[in-house]
Amino acid sequence: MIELKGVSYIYPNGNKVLDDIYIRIENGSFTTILGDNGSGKSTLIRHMNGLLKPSQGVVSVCGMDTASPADIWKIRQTVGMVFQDPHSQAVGATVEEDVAFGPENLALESDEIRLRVTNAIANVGLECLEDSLLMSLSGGQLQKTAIAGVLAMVPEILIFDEVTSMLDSDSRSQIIDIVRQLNKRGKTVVYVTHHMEEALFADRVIVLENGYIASDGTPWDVFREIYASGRKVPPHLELAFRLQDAGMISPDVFPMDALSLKEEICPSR
Amino acid sequence: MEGFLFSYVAGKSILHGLDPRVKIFSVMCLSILIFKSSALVDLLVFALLFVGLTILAGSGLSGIMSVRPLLPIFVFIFLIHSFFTEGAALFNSQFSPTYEGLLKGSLVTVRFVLLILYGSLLTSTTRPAVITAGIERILRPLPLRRVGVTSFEIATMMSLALYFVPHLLWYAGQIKDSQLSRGSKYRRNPISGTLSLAIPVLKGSMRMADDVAMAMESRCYQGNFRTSLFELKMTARDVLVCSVVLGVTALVLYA
Repeated sequence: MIELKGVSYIYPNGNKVLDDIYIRIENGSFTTILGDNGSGKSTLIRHMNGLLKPSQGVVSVCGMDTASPADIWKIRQTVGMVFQDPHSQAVGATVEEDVAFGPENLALESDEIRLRVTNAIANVGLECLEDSLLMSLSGGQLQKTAIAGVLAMVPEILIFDEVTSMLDSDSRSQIIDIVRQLNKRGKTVVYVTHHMEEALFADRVIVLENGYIASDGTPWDVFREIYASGRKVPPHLELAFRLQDAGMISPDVFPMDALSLKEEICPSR
Repeated sequence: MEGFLFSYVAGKSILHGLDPRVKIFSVMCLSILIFKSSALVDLLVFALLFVGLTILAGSGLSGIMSVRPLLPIFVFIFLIHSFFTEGAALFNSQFSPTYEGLLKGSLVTVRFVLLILYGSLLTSTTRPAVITAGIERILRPLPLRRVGVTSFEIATMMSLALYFVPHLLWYAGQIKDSQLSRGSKYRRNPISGTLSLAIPVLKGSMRMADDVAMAMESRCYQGNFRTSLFELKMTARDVLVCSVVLGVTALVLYA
């Protein structure tokens, strides 16, 4: 569990990026953090594994304070983080060497490292590329390697920082599938994105605006609120809300995509 | 990447199976012996040894052709020595190569080619990560902490370089293309073009270094102690090869 209590963060240049944030992320949940560029999403999640220390307030991970130097390595082992640019998180020449980087830092025996590397690579479906040079991989494959690198450390909580923003649509859906699978297997997921469609799969959506929490709730609540305020929501949701307002479909319906909305309007036989 | 100079070629030969520390030590000994050699005949022995080892590695002699990109450097070294070594002129001209220069040029060039080839043999039979693990284990007993660095940090720097040098070259190529597409006169004036390329590449590489440092830190990198996916264990065969190399080197140097 991650808990942020009254967290504010001011960069050394005086720019206040987070303002009095209270968030509690439960074990096994799937939380999406939505927000425009510069809203403080990346700064917020970097507090969750101790890469940044709050200027005010407390961040605790499974009861450990991220400001405590004694707990920092345990915290980073518990909270794995995958970053946006797949090229800027590679540290090995080949896939298996890169995936092994984390377990090597944990000073594990080579047999244990090998086991973890094999499992992590299988989890992201890169078995046939184990020995491939990272330079020869596509963006999607590199991002899967980065996810495997984090999985090899067997973290309880996974944070994904706009991991699909540099990928094509196929790679994007593959990465989202992997993230959803990991959550189904019990990992706590915090998923940062500015693509609204990617927030639909979450249990909870938090919208950040200029460093404060603008909305927090289930995807249905949050997207309803966004729609009500006159801002853009994914086209199929906008249509669903309009149909709900007109009483043409049930107000409980929350279609994940256009196909499920179509099923709701005219079910196939 | 197969067939490129210094790139790893997967295999199961005796050379592939040797401990990287033995291979690094052997290449160092051979380099010393090559530099000590003062006759072309001696160098011919090293060339024949290289051919034998290449066959043993199962790489085939086509690997030798991978030094072709370095040919201009070899020619340059040869010409410099040929023309600027004092001795009897080959032609009756003010600027002529000398007999002594040709001999010295051949000797230095062959030495240089052999060093490159033996280095290439090491890297073509050893995975990059295993070489860095080997170097780390060689450096571990040294008191490097006194100068503020650890053998693990040096090994990590080497692994990072293996990925980032080609990546930075790719990045520089992207910036160059984007500048050319916006009317940069890189081709007409390579000097100012290089300067305008250097600043964004430097800025980008700084940002990239920052991101990598953050990614490494979040994966628990501390630099004091790490283990390796590739566990190094000296076998009786490794000890035998090491002893033979050491014995031959000592014999040649002090006999």
